[in-house]
Amino acid sequence: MGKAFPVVNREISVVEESLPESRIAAEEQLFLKAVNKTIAEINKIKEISENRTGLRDSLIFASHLMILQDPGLVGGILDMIKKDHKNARWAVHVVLGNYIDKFEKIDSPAMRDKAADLRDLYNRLMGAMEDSGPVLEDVGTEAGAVLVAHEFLPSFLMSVKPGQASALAMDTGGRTSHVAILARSLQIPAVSGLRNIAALIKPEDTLIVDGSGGMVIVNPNEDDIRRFHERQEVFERQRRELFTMRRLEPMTRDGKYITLHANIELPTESEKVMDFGATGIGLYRSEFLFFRKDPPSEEEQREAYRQILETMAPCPVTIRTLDAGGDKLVSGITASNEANPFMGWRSIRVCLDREEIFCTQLRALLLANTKGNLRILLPMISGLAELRKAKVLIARCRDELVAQGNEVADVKVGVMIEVPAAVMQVDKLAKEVDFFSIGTNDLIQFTLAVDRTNELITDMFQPHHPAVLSMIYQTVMAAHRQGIPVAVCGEMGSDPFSVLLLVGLGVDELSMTPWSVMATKKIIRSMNFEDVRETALTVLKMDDAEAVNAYLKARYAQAIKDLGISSLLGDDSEKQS
Amino acid sequence: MIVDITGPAKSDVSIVYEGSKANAKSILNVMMLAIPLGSEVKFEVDGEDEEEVVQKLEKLFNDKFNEEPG
Repeated sequence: MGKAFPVVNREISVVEESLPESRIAAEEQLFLKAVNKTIAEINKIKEISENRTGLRDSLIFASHLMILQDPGLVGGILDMIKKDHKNARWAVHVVLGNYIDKFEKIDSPAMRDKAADLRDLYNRLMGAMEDSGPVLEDVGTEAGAVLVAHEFLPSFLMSVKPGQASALAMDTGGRTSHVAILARSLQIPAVSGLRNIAALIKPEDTLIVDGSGGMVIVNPNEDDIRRFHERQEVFERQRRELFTMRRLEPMTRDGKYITLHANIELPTESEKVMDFGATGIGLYRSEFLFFRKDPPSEEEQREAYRQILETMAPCPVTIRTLDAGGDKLVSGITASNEANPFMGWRSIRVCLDREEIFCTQLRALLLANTKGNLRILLPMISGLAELRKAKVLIARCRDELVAQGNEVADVKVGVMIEVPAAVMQVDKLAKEVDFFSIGTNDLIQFTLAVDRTNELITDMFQPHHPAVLSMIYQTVMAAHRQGIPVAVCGEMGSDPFSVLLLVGLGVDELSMTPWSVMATKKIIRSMNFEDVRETALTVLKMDDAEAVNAYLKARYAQAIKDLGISSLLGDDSEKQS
Repeated sequence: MIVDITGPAKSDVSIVYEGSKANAKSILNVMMLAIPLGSEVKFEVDGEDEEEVVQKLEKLFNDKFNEEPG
């Protein structure tokens, strides 16, 4: 609930200039740099959206990226600069503006959505060329205002500082519009598709925004306000309770300690990790640094890794080496035509084929490890041979650095267990690494032969399929025989029933989005290890996921409900503002 | 996605729908044809890798790529 703050997208003024020959090259560069900057921004949002709301939503941003590489668009703009000698901003204004007009004229809501996308790209490009960030109204609101507009553009949303906006209400857009997706990712309640709220609202109006109910109450009466306060109080109480739990240990009632770590995408997130009660970082996805035109230099990488490692010291930080597809990394390679990218040229395979890319990353990691809290995680390992090759390279890089006079601390090395072949070799692998990290998403997909982005078979993606649980169990047993710990860093770690099972199966460490750490801690503190262990061993013997889920529900659904953590699991039904 | 195939292709590729033709390497131009799901379209391919491109396009359509409408 808050005071309405109408937002109007500022008009961008562009002036046409005819340039002398000498300025043309610089103007071209200005435009191309702006394109690259925008591509990098969109990749960031896409990655965040992928990790928080799933692959489907992020495909929208993938289409934004393709538009930025459209030869007609880019070529048209460059022509206007090179041949007509116009300034870059005017060229963008005319060429992109032309496309926007054309899309708006087509009578179809899908096309108008696309036009909105293009308008957002227009704003981003203009902002990137000004070098002052996305063009937007300066949101000088009193804290907690409800922003109201005819339309919000994604770039605007990304620049709203936390606390500035308590909610959004807009005329346009549906549930899958980009702004809706972003609002979900950023956890700002929003209601869209209201059609005429922007015109009706005055700045002095008070609004209650019910994100889950899809309603906005204007100038609420006493009953409305009372009900809102009640729901808010429940929500806030749960959150407060969980914040005070920050310092408590994630230990079961019968004394088993489970390590809770956080997953992060950006180096800056490392500062908040401890606030959420995590005792380390279980997964930093390093490929984030690589989503731009040129791969980052060793210095750039070293700085990013150093930032995270030093912020978290002495707590451990697990950094996963490059896990993206080869086509994103190596220019001139169009592996994007791979029929089966999941099982294609990506991740450790690219790293072992292109040693210079891998060694640059390894050197940066080793040098950044000044406090000795680094754990290197190798992804997509499919067997001993690959692991050994990677370890040889790590040792070689290390020796080189030492020979150059650097001090290189010891570093722990682990592998992701996500390819079924690795599970079959866990005993041998366990002897040659310091830890395992189970990548449940990919492990489930490969084991069940299910592509989770395929709408026809999403129901078949079953984390509790006995085969999957069995693979996890075998991994844990092999690891413990060698005395090394096992972590789970996928989404499974944040589903309450899965947490019970994973702990019962003997997993030592769970890593998840920082926000979920608190809720998971509460679950762990309320469970009895001997009990969940027995449950795990029981369900391992069951025939199918349905039986497993029914058993878990019958036994634990009430207890989980009583914990009162729904607001912290990103369960939308409790959100209100 | 169509542009993944046509973009890197060496040949020229056009897509034709109800009399309108567009350069199939440009995602914006293809989108502007506003072709509804399930329509019939024609591709004109001309160049050194034309056969490969046609094959890939056929496969794409036969696999009924999961394109969201619009």
